[in-house]
Amino acid sequence: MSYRTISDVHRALQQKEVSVVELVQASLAAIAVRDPQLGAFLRTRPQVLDEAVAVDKRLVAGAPLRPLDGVTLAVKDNLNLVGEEVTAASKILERYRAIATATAVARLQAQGALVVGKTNLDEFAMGASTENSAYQMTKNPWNTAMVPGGSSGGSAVAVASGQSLVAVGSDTGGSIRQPASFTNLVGFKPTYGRVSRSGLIALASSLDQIGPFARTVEDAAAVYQVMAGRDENDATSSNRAVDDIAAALNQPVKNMRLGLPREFFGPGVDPGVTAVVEQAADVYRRLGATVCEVSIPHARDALATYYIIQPAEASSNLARYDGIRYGRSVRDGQGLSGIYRQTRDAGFGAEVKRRIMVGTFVLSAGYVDAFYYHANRVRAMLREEFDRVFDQVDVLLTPTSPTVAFPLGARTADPLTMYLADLLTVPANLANIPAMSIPGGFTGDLPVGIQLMAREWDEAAIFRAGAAFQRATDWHTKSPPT
Amino acid sequence: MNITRAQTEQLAGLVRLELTAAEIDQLVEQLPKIVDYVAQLQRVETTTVAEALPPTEQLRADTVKPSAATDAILAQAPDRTDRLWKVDAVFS
Repeated sequence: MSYRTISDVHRALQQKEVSVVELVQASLAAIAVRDPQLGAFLRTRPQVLDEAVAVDKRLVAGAPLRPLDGVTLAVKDNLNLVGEEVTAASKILERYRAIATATAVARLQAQGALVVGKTNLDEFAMGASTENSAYQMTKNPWNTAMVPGGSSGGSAVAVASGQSLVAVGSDTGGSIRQPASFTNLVGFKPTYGRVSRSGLIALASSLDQIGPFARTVEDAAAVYQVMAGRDENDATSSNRAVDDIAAALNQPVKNMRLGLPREFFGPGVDPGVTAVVEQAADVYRRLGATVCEVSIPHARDALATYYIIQPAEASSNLARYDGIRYGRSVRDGQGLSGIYRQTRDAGFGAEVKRRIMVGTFVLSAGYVDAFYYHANRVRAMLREEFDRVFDQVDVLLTPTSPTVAFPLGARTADPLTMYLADLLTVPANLANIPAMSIPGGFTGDLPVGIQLMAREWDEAAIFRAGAAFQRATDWHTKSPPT
Repeated sequence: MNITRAQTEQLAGLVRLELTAAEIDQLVEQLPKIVDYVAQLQRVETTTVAEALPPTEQLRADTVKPSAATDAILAQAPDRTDRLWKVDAVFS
């Protein structure tokens, strides 16, 4: 019993070939068999079986199928579920239990999704390999000597290895798209403000967005559609009406205008990766789209801009972990400031400490204008350049990551080499625009993702282009060895 | 860019991190490299540009309503007296 897509699951449910309880049992069984080697999950949710029983009862009583009935879902462990542990893969949140469910997850559950477990990540989503977790290492099912990408590596591996049908993660600088690229999945970061961040443990509040992992663009659309839309618990969530993505999925791409921004094909990008993107451009040409070269000059400055703004915001957000109100607390009688200092030293890992230090440095008196304000001015310039380029083209096509998955341990000694993994994904976060990684091919035995980006709020253009690509190719049907 | 050991220790104090000598050693080596990397941004001319502002769509009306699950929050306190969080002496 193995269903690869939501429509497979729904067909089977309608034909009474399988029950929701059986689907959930199959997911939990796959976790029991596969996860000891892969390390995708930090913990499973035994109560999901009761939730499945309730859905079966509904269906037996004749209720119509909801969009996500029978869909097993893995949730990154920086998203809250009420009353349950949530760690952000940090020791500082030991013993913490969430007081409310994240809006995005609550919406998925309300449409039938069954959360089978919480997945591993880089601590507080700081990393590109999931090696910074305080709890465990997650391995890439395509080659277990390789990283799965990060920071949502656990969510990616859960889907790629067939442990859950879909997953959600968060993307601050590529944390959904890059692991999707490394594991042959679709990973999508919506426009900033499209999905509520309420209940997401914050990394960098002007950059974070929640989004789906799935095998197909169609399934990613189904998950995205349910999560999207205004939530009054997040003042940055948008009032705009959400497009009906299902309609966009079937539109042909004839005469659609695709741009290849030359700054995304420069030095540092593996030739094997570039070749995959060039082949993808040919696929689009054959489908009748026009493809032209464009330029976004300040994309070259995006990584430096990002590594000022993101640690600055992170250092502010992480000030709340102080050992006073919840989570870990070290108390050995050295006064209030002793609680703060010792709790934070014991609770945070090395990368988190580094970013707190860098973030505070770029915000400190004397440096704030030259670093933080300056970076925000460059961010404004970059946004304007993206705006202009989207007057010429509908969608941008680039590599998602400069390389395929790299070996475990290869980049842990030098933080800057790890930061370089984000080179091609951070521009979309800085520009607030939607972006998706889609399976585009292979170099050697490892998958390569292609990235599609569109104008703010034009998620539909990405889904249209992505679905057309998957109709014309079969890369997304390839599964890792078991 | 030169970031001295004293500056690194001062920063650690500001962010309330009690770092070990080994951690300070490592940061003294790493911080300047990271800051040098991001400092390349300074060649970008931005004098005529306004900063990007985070978008805020709509603020809630400022009305009083019940707060989140107070009991569930207080239950997680590492130490408390009744409905108050308990901490070590502020001045020691």
